[in-house]
Amino acid sequence: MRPLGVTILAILGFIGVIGCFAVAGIFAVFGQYIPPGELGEAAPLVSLLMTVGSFVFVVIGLVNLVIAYGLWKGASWAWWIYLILLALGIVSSLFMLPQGGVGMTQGIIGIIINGIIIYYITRPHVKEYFGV
Amino acid sequence: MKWEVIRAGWEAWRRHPVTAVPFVLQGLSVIAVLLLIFLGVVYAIMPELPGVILSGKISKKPEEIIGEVFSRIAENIELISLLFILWLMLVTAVTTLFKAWWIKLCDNALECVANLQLAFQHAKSRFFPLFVYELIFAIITAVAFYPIINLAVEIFENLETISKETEMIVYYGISFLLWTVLLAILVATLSFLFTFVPYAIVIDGERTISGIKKGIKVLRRNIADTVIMWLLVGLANMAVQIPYYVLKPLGVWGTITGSIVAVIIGWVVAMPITTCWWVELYKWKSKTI
Repeated sequence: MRPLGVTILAILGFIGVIGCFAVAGIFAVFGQYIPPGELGEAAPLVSLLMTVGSFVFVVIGLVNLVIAYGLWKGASWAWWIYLILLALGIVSSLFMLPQGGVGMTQGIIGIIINGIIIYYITRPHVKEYFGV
Repeated sequence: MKWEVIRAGWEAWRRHPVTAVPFVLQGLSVIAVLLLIFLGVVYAIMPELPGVILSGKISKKPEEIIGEVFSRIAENIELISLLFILWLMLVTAVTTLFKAWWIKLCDNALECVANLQLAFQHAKSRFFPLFVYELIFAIITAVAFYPIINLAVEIFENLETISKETEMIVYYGISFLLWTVLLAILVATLSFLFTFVPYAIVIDGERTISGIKKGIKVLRRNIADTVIMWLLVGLANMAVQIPYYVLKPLGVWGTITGSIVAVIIGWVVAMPITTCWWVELYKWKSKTI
């Protein structure tokens, strides 16, 4: 049986996917309506940049979708990828600490959230569900 | 399975710290080649520059001297491109020899028989097929670099005009960004696709083409494990940067010390361990083919 926490994490993942696709959509739509105005010759390039940005969000969304699906199904590879991404999140939060101010606060929050999730997914019953 | 690979890599490095030697030597050699080519460029386009810097004249008229350097670079762009290609060839050759050496050494360390000299003998015998592979990789990357170099030259030649118009800054800025993103995607894709090729050539004694085929075959059957291993290697490389970010707030000296510490940890700890991981994963997975 799937642990409740894993279900919540997978659902949050699916919500993230919707968010990524929504941002991709916004980028794609706005990319089509860049007025030449002051940008002149650069306007088509700004439009292209928005399209590339939209594509990037689609890719991130698809990666999130695969991971969320893997968590939902209890795939061991999903557990590994999720664990490493959380660890990467902690390391990048550590990099924010020396900035001070808002960056430091964001870093601390990032370390706490990622740390709690790592603690949870490394509990024996969760690892057993993923077969790791 | 992953725990076994991670543990095996860690144990191999812990019991055989000698695995770090080729990484340190390779790092130093690449720096030496880089310095050599850089000094060659300076000597060819502006031989009086070291004298100007050492005599302190540069602090009196910095703008004038920097402007002169830029104009000399623009005048000698063909020569610089040629030296860049020479640098690429030299670095590829040096890196190939060391790569073959450290792969074999890590392979031996995983079997508890690490010997620098024996591994080097084997590396020399695998140099040519690995060099051809590295050259193919470098040529594809260099070709992909061409539009960026072209764009950089264009920006360089029209720097004064561009810097005065916002429209032009946006135009060239975005062009540069887009080409860089495309290049990064290309290099990442190729690196992923050819993940196991060097291991097939060095460990299994494959030739270039058969090594590429075998490497791709191993990858195709183990995509999830390879993605996880790349992420783990990325994590290890990011963790290595921690000293740099910790010491950076201390100013210039903190930044320099942090960078040096990060580089040394990378050479001595992270690179040998991650190479042992790749070797162990390759040996494990290639058995089934």
